[in-house]
Amino acid sequence: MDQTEIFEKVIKILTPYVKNQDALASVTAATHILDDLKVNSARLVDVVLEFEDIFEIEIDDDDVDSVETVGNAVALIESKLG
Amino acid sequence: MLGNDIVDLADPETRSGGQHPRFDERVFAQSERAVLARNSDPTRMRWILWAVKESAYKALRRMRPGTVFSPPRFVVDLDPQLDGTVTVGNEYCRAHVEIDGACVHAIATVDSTRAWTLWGSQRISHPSIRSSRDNAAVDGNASQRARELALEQIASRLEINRSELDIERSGRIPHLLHRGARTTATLSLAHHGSHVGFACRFPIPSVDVRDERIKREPLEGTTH
Repeated sequence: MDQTEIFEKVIKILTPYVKNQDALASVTAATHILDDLKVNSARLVDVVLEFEDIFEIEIDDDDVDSVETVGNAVALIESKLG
Repeated sequence: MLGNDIVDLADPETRSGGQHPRFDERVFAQSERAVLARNSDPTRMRWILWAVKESAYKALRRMRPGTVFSPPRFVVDLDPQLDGTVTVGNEYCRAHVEIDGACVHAIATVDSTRAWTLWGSQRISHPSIRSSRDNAAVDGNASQRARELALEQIASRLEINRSELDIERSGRIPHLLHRGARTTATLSLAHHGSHVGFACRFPIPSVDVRDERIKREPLEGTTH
């Protein structure tokens, strides 16, 4: 799976939890998940669990702590997929 | 140091069954899942525990910026009055939860010196949301209302003019200013749904009561 495909799947997973649709419309790898997309921190748990389900990977909390932007999430998933 | 967190139980995000099926397993320690299993209102208790974890994380992160938020490692133990502790490895926070209708307001403190804490929460009314731009404006409005609530109540409690106080941010951390200079108080702001809240902790100078601080530090607050 290439980076573009991962990026598109990440956006699809995030979409139901995004409160700032304007930021979503212009989303890039640099978009901040909490500050820009306004995803609630509790819903971020649901997002991470969906990442695990969809990509069939395991993500621990230390990994999650390093994810601030959409690009961080894509890079993390890419590294887990090997 | 301190942190606070707000959860609006009336917000659609907190509805029962709205979470991923593995949410509880991912977030809660075994002891907390046992509390949820025997609680008559597990949805309410779920968000109480979450708010306490978040507030404890905010408090510990201020002390050690590298603190990782691993929810099940923040183990919450509350008494029936919703006072208690959060244990994170060798770290220890005091916690207090105030419930006002649908508003869960959690305050966590961790300190090496004696201090007193002021806190408050308020229900706010949002303009009707017609577009995503409105939704972003609602979030900005809630942040501003949390700041205003904090400044009003701190000024009132300290019996000083509101105009002498201000808040500045460094990253995500708010700092209380008095006449333009940073104070030694630690401030935490929060909002969720239709509720905003704050907590502010003021060190008591020239008093060293480290052995007694846990039981004796006063806590006061208001809910509107």
